[in-house]
Amino acid sequence: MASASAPEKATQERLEKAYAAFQEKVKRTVYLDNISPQVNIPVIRTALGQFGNVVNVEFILNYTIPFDIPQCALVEMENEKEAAAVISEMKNFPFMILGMPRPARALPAKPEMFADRPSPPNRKIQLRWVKPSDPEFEVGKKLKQQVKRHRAETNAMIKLQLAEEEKLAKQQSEQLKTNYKKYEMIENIMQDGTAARLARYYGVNLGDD
Amino acid sequence: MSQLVKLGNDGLSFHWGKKRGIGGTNKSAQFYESFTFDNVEYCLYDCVYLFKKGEDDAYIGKIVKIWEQSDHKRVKILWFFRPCEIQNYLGDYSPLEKEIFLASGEGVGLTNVNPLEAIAGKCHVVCTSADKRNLQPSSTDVELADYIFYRVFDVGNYTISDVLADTVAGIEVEFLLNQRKDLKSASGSKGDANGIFTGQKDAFDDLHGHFKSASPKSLENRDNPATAIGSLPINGGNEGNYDVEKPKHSTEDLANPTLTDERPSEKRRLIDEASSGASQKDKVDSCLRKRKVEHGEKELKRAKLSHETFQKTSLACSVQNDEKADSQNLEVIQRPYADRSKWFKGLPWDLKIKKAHEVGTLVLLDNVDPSYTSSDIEDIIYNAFNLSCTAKVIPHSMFQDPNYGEAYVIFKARDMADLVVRKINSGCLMQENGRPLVCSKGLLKVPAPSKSSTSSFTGHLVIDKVRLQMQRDEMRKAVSTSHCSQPNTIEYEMALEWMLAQEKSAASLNLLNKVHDDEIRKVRRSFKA
Repeated sequence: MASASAPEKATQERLEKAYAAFQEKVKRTVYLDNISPQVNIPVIRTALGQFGNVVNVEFILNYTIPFDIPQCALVEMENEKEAAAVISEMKNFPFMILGMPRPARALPAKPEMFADRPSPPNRKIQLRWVKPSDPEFEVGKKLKQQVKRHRAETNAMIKLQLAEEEKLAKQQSEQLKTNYKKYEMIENIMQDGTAARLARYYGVNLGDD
Repeated sequence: MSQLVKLGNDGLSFHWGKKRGIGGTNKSAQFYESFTFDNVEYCLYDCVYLFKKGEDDAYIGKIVKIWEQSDHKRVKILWFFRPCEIQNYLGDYSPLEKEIFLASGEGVGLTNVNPLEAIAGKCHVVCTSADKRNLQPSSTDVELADYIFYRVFDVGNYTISDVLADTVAGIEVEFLLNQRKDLKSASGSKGDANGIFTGQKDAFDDLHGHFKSASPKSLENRDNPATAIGSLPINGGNEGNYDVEKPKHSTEDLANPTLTDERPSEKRRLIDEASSGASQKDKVDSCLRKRKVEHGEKELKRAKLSHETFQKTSLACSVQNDEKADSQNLEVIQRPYADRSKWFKGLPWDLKIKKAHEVGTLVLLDNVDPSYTSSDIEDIIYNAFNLSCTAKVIPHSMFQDPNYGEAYVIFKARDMADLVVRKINSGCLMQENGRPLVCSKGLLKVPAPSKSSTSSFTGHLVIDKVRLQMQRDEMRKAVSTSHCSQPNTIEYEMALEWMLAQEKSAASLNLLNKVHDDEIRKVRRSFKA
């Protein structure tokens, strides 16, 4: 059959264009995580709206990690510059969404994060059924087992990290409570006049200068 | 001549055309030359589509007899074969675009009698044979035709030939070739074909070249089924098992098609709508319109046909292949109906996988090359197993190991899913770079994302007393908006602690992933040694 005829060329061009458009999209998309479960699309839009024009927000649903992980989202900005601005701002200053003090994290998006991505045109996938008698079959077996092991390792690490996060949260919560208590105490003495009386007794000036 | 407009069960209008004669057993059969069904006129020797109950296939045939007997309307159909149905007898030849083969000879699969209501629509088939008796079509005719044929398939000795016998199925061959009324350019140019069987190949190359440069909209999506059909014979070892199964299957089907009234009436209407513009010019315009408007439908239908034929034999064959399991290289070609955008969106994906899991058709693939996309996976499954499925690649967040990709795949039936799991796990299906596919059935248990507004988030702290104070709107807004924290607040310091923790986690995950990568390479290298 004739090669690269008009209709085939048209499809090919279409595919290439779609792929190029996708790559461009990736460049201007920000990956956001450490997001609270209460956060939804409008919240993110307003949150990142201050950095530029938010074109689209999509959450990456968790299908395979057996833990309660914070939400992740892909935020598509209007251009690459805005995306870069988001990332650098959030890197230098803690940006909090719908709660404190845990900040959200922004990273540049990668193609693998998009579930509905187009495949690169002109790519040929090779596939092979390996015979049991072929020595590569044993290698295949080892690799398969390795996959399982690696998955378990990753899960274990995630579990560990989640536990550490809990610890940190707890610790901060304690810290916050004690701080608040101290603050309240001070507030109280100031308000009910005890501080003023003590100041008079000791001859200390409580004024603000 | 009764011009009664009879309404059939499904409200489709019908009336007879010109009578021909009486005959048959007990002289109870009345033969006709034409009839009008659902506002489309069908004449003797017209080509039609027929749908078989329960299949998305469309068979193409030529009406060679029309009659009514004891209140049953019947047609005798002389069949055309699609290239995929007689694949094994084509040999090295790859069939032309739109080519079909007229049945000839004696035997099962030549003709069948069917109820008239089984006809699903008209089909425009042009004969491009260089035979003297054939009215030569112009290139426009060929372009506009739904199908072309110039060769016959003998159902008795399973051979293909371009020699047209004098009679086929008891009918003079002249009636089976192009009729004047069918061709736009019926100029009786018989002079060209002086038995140029030798020159025939050249003529067809020209025509073929012409097809390719024809309007993209009509052919663009046909390419897929054509290439799929053409290149499948390349598949090394698998073919052996197909030999016996296919033709028997297709001729058996043809012998007893229980073609009933049931067919997707939507598709019919679309085809009819286009061909009901009686006059020739209208026909041309409407053919073009038909293509523009519903090439998606047709492409689906036609592609489904070629797919379905494979699917029927695939299950039987792949079981036989178990033992053989040659190290065959499969070059993954795009499966026939690859344009996903045309698919009906349906349920959201997470509901889909839940449902599929309940029915047992869900499979999780692991160790997929992370650069593969959902349609790549569907192609892979199609090429390795000849099964269609819907796949979705699991998108990566920062938690996922970038060395591996995963995907959920939903099959149409439970046994397909089981078969695939069994084969992949017992065998070794290697992707490029030595990645064996791993799979398991079912759904990974993942905690449902808690959407309630009261659920707390680790790290988001609230002081109870302050919360009570936040009845006032302003206070509420202060926390419920998002902001960059300023360095003179407590939250700033706490936030920094969090950022530190985040960096640590990211670094450790990165390290783990690198270790994994090294381990993978090590195993692969050990093979090369």
